[in-house]
Amino acid sequence: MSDDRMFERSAQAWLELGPSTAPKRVVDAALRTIATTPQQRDLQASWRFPRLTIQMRFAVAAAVGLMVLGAGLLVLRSPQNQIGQTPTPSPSASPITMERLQGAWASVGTRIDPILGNAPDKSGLQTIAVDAASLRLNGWKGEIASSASVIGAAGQLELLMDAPQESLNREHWDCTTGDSGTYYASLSPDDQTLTLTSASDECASRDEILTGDWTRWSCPDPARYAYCSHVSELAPGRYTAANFKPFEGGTRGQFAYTVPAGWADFHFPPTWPGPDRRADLTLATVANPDSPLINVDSTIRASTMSAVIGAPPLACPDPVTASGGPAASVADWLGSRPFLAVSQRRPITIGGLSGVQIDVSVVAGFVDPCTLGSAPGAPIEYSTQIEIFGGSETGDSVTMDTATDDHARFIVLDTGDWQGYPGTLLISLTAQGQSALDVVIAQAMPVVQTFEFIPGPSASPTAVSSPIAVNATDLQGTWNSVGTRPIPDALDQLTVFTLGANYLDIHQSDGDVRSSWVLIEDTINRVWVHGPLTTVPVAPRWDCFGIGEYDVSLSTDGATLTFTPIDEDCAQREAILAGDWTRDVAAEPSLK
Amino acid sequence: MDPAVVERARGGDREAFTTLVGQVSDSLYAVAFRILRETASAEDALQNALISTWQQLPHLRDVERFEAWSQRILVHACYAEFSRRRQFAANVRVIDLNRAGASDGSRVLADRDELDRAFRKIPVDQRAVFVMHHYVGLPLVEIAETLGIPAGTARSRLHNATRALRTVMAAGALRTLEEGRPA
Repeated sequence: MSDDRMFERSAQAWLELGPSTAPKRVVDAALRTIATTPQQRDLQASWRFPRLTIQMRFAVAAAVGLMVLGAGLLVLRSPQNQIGQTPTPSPSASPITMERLQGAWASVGTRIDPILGNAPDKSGLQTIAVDAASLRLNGWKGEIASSASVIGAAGQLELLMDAPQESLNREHWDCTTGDSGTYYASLSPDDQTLTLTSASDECASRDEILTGDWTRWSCPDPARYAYCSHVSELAPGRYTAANFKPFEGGTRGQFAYTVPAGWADFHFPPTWPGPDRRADLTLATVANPDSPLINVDSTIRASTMSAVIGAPPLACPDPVTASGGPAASVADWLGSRPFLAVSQRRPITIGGLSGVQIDVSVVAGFVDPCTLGSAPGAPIEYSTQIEIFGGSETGDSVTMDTATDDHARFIVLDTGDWQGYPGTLLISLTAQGQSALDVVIAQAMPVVQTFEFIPGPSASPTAVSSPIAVNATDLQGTWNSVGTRPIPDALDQLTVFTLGANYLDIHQSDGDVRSSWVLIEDTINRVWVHGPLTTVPVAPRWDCFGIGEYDVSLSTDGATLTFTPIDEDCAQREAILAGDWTRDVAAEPSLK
Repeated sequence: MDPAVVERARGGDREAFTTLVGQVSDSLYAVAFRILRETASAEDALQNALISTWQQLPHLRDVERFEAWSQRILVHACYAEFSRRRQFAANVRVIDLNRAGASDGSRVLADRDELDRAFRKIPVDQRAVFVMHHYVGLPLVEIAETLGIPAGTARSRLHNATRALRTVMAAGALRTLEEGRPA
């Protein structure tokens, strides 16, 4: 049996373990909630299966990112992207009305959240939406709505809990449906900052979350949280991206751009730090936020995927190494693919970087022979989607579909050598059909022309001289620690380890501590180690076990190796591996 | 799945929706557990997915796709639960059955434990694709359509997940070699 088949069988056998029946109490609880939950019939757009095009690639990551933020981000940061946009609460002389309060608001700072009761810090960033008659908190398991009205010129906000008891219980709120609360609301003169001060509230959880400052969140439609979770409307003006770093694989530099009215970015409420997406940035229009008009990616590379014309069965060919750069070479690569039609190739300079602009469409009839599109037993079909760019740090790819007449304009810019390769940055504009692409180009190119790439200082000034992208063979050998490392139950001492084809042995006088290891592809210079798998007599001293993830860098002469821990279950191994190592040229690697 | 029942549920018929829940909840829960590897999380994900499915059902255009659509909602509920829960999981200590001297029986358990631990290290979006492929049995294109991602992305997620688990299995092979080596 082949390794592949054996792996599949093992994986399937392992996955078969576990429950296959939903607990009745869980289903019953859901049905009880559903019994008092209305269906959403007021949305402007109906859900449908999206077309599988390049436009959809950010939606899932963005949705995940939202929840990550809500759970884990515990600190306040300056507003996302917009330069100088700082909440400046000050009372407004104008009377408070529900009309002025309407919109989406993001908490300034974190608030105690009952559902985080088991966390070390029970705080989280919060969002609320206010309409003509209600205030809705975006809870973990749905909205928690209160009827809302403003009484008196002093801005007394009266709330009445509308959320069903089941919802409150699910959110761990110690409150009751019908609980009333009174707050004093004040707005800054520009209506951008709301301050709520509790006068009284029977629902303490609501009080803890609402009391404080809120900054207006330019969510185009607050009622559509799925929509607003990843889109923030941008006021016309110039912005500097907070997270995206265009140079050296998302580690260095700044990116600035200018947008007119009607644009949005794929980010989060203004007080939220946003996802740590340093290697890409996406801009869309408010009118069509789920179809990004401009994608910028600093780590994506031309894909090795192949496409062929033919009838099943088709063989999956070996991948052909694609050009990683410079930009002209990437354009040559695209131009040489038989399944791509290219046009409009010309040199271009954007934001201080030079490169190549090229328009690309996929030729009808080609399929990806490596992806089966049929269920087991059904006639074989192949995917009409062909990956053009991939392998980015963020997992994003640019996939074009021959069945939907995908067209794209790619702008590949040279960003300078990094880790031994010519660095490139990709700007992609995409649409279905040439006429649609023409519309996108007309909208997007004026914005692209405002891009500015600012290199800034290197993010890793202490890195070993000129690190290069490593492959597994490069790393194999015997390595001596630079300096001493703590060995369990022993004095600090110089340490030696050997990297074989798939194992890593840390040598000790009475035995080796062995872990398995693998170089993670698609993520530059990152390895996983697993174990230790060692036996007596060393084992008793190693009171740890698990998986470790490290960045590795290798000097250009291959003589110095640096391990930088990313995540490690085994603190003892981390204490030894982290740092610099020099190759022991006298020792033969024992490739067992 | 009877399209007529889906149609009725879409129109607001709770009884019809209860019928649908009876038909899909087991499979949804099984998928949720395999993605999240934790009972409480899987239960919460299922509960949230069922409620979201009900709320959003009027916007499902193609009633024939109800099952795939509900799977997508479930996977997103899993993403949410994963993010919510993972900060609480940092201090959970998994009992190490992989020590020298473990019996054959406990070694089997240890192998499963290793797979489980490795799986927990994989990003949840990769887990979802892995489970949809190896447990649900969907081809990549159908996974991509169900999850709303390009096929290339589905493929790379499956590839990455597979590689991670292979690391663990390679470790198991190494251990076997170690055991066969004279002391």
